[in-house]
Amino acid sequence: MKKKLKTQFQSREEKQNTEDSMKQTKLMRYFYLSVILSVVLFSGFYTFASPPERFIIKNVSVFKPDGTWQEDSFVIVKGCKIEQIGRMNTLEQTDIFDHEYDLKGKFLYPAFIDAFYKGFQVEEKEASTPGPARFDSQISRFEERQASEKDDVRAPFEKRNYFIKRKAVERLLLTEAKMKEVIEQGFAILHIAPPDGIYGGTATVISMISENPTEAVLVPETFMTLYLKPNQPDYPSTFNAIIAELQQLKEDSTYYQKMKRFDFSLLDKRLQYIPEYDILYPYFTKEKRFIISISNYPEQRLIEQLTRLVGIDPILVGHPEIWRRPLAPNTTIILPLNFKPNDNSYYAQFEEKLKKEAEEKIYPQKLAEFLKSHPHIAITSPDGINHKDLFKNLQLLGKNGAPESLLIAALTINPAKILDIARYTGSCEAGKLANITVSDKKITEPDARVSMTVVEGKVFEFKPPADKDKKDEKDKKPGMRKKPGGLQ
Amino acid sequence: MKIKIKIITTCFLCLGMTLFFTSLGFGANRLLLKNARIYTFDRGVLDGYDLLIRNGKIDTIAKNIQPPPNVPFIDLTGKSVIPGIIDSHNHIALYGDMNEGTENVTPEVKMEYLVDADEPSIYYILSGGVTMIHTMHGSANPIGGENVTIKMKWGKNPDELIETRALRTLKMALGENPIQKTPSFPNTRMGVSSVIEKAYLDAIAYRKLQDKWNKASKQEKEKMIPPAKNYRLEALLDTLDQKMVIRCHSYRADETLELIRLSKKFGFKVAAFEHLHQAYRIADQLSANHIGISIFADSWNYKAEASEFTPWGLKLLYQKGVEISLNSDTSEAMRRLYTEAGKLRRYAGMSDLDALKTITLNPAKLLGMEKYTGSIEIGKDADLAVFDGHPLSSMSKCVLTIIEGEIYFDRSKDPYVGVK
Repeated sequence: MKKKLKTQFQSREEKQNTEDSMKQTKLMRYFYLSVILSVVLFSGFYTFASPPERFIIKNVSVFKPDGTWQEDSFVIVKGCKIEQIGRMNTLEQTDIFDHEYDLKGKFLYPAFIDAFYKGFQVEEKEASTPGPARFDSQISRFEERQASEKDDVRAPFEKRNYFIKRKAVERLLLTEAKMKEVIEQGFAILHIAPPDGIYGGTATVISMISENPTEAVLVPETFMTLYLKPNQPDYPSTFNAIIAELQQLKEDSTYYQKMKRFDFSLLDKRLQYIPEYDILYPYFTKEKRFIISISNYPEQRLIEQLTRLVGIDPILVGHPEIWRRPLAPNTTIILPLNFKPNDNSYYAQFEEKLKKEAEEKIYPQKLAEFLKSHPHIAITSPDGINHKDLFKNLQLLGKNGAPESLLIAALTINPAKILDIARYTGSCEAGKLANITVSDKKITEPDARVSMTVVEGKVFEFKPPADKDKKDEKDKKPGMRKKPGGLQ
Repeated sequence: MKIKIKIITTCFLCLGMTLFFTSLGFGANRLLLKNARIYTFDRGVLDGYDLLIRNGKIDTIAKNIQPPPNVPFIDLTGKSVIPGIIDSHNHIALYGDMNEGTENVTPEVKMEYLVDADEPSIYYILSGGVTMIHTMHGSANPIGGENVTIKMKWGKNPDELIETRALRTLKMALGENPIQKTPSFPNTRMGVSSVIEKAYLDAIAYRKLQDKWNKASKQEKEKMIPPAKNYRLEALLDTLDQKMVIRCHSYRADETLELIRLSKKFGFKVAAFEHLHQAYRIADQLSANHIGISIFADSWNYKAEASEFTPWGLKLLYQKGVEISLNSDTSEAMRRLYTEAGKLRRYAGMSDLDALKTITLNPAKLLGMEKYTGSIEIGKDADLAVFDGHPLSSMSKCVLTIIEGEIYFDRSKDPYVGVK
């Protein structure tokens, strides 16, 4: 009886359960159906309401990927991509566009890419203070050490300017006004490198499409930046100590990679396990790459020593005297375009005359020759922030015999190749991102001005400078000018 | 057989042709210095002799060498030729900071990386007849970095300047400097010697670990943890294996004797003491242990530990047979190192040639370069300085500086002659 009762009871319970579950499943089905329907309806409605914007730029000369100009051409942009490029006589007259830009006599390039930009980041107070405060900080650190009673242990990485964990993606600060300045110079993509630190951290690639960092980031992490800057209070205070320590760091990180099967507490007490070793390991095995910034000619030799001793294959961020020392043919170079000889340089040592001659003649000539022998170079702004001087210097290079196609490639496709985004951008081809710059003259000619920039289909037009400047010029008549020197 | 004979004859022909052309002057860089007063150490002062340089080496020293065709020659009547001056202690031509004083023991640091061939001070010292220098790590910490010996080939590629035939040397420092700069340990002279002792004990322990690992069988190795590579301790082991010698900065006799004791205990070799002002007090110990000194001629009292000094002490060292070499420490003093050597004639009672040795052959010996340079001998590098008068006089000037047969300084072509 008991058993029967039990079974009946069970069966009743089961029935109820099954009915409940049936109800639930039906409800869920309705719910899913409604969700799917709403998604379909909404997407349909959305596509119907706002199809991707389609516009045309007409009557321009287009810079082709092979380095030649195609005159009287049009470019059709759909959404964020280039749909079609062709000559004006092949254009179908029946086609309808949302906008038409007739830019007769102007020149269309792929938008420029800055391969080494230091702006757009949150400023933070660094742990080390160079200069006169050096001794004070040393004493304070000494007191810290006394407190912890550890004599032989080195200060932690971040106190010694090694920001190995730092990422430029996490420190982005994009403001509209500054972005406009960048776009006004024809740039659509920036490679943002951390500004300082022996290890500065990893860099990122961003597009000038949005102020929101999550939308703007194209490649979150690219290369680890290295600045070999000595004169700091803690251990590597000279160049050769930096090299020696990098050598030791390579040894240590590979050692810990091999020793992972052991208990770390058993290992040598001097070598404490630090999580940074895991981050560094792929850089020393050439899986990832370093990007090293150097400021003059003797430092170039230090990098050679570094590559020889540590066995890395870095990307060089060059300097105006890079032509003075032969480079290995395979080295990838990013060149901040600058003709000012360094204060330690031979040309800056003796007389002002020689320095001026170097700035105006020797350096542009030598760099133009250097460009010809290294056609895969990327060019960036002189100081890593301002692009305004860049075009003046480009014109000087052009005057001294650097071919125009090479210069444009150094601003567009070459940096794209270095940053590994050449599949998406870097040249004017159908299917690539609609990153376009239009200028009224060729950029190697004087007074060339960017009149329009397209960033992923978003158009920014710039009017020629307002009449204010002309008025100013009128005021500056020779008779009206004040004599310099006052009382003379 | 016929083919063999043909091959042999063509070989001989080729040899003959090359010999003929080389004798004519093709394929060999040659320079003839005519009618000079040559200061040699083995043959004495040779008046009115000619000197032929070939491929950067001294080829012949004789009277009336007929200038071969296509060989440039310079007439040096009334001028004297001495071996190129060598400065055994200074800190020039180093790009950036030379003192890694942030930690007590930094032998992994190499000055070789920092050589700057463009530095103008190289040109200034070429005008004083200096051809080779030993440019060193600073004295901010007890065990500093590895020094480098370079030739003064101004403006060349830095790799060409570095002299690989020279001894590897490691800088150590005793006394005030390593104590005062860092606020941390060591604070006394006792502390400095204990730092050096502890560093070597660490190095020996590291070697024992390595030996244990190397001797272990494959089965044992699976259970063992291999020792991690440490560049710092390996540099110290190099000094224990005599691959590298010590150049030690010191002023006082007591601490110097302490380092000699340490060198005997651990087995590293001290090549020379730098600046050792109280050297005359321990001349016996220095000569017994074959340790040289690199010293100023008559400069002292610039800081507390440098107060006790007498230039007459150099006479005592000279009599005891200690290897004396003069140093400059700055590019300014290096330009007139030859007048410093002149002072030894008075203070130490040296002859001209012995005084000249203190800035040429003796520093070369301390750097292990006496086979290659440091004196005018056939087969040695043609590192020469030409003076317009007596080479130890303050009235004479250096006219020509030649390094490995190439002229690097010529006063007649100097753009700044007469410019005030």
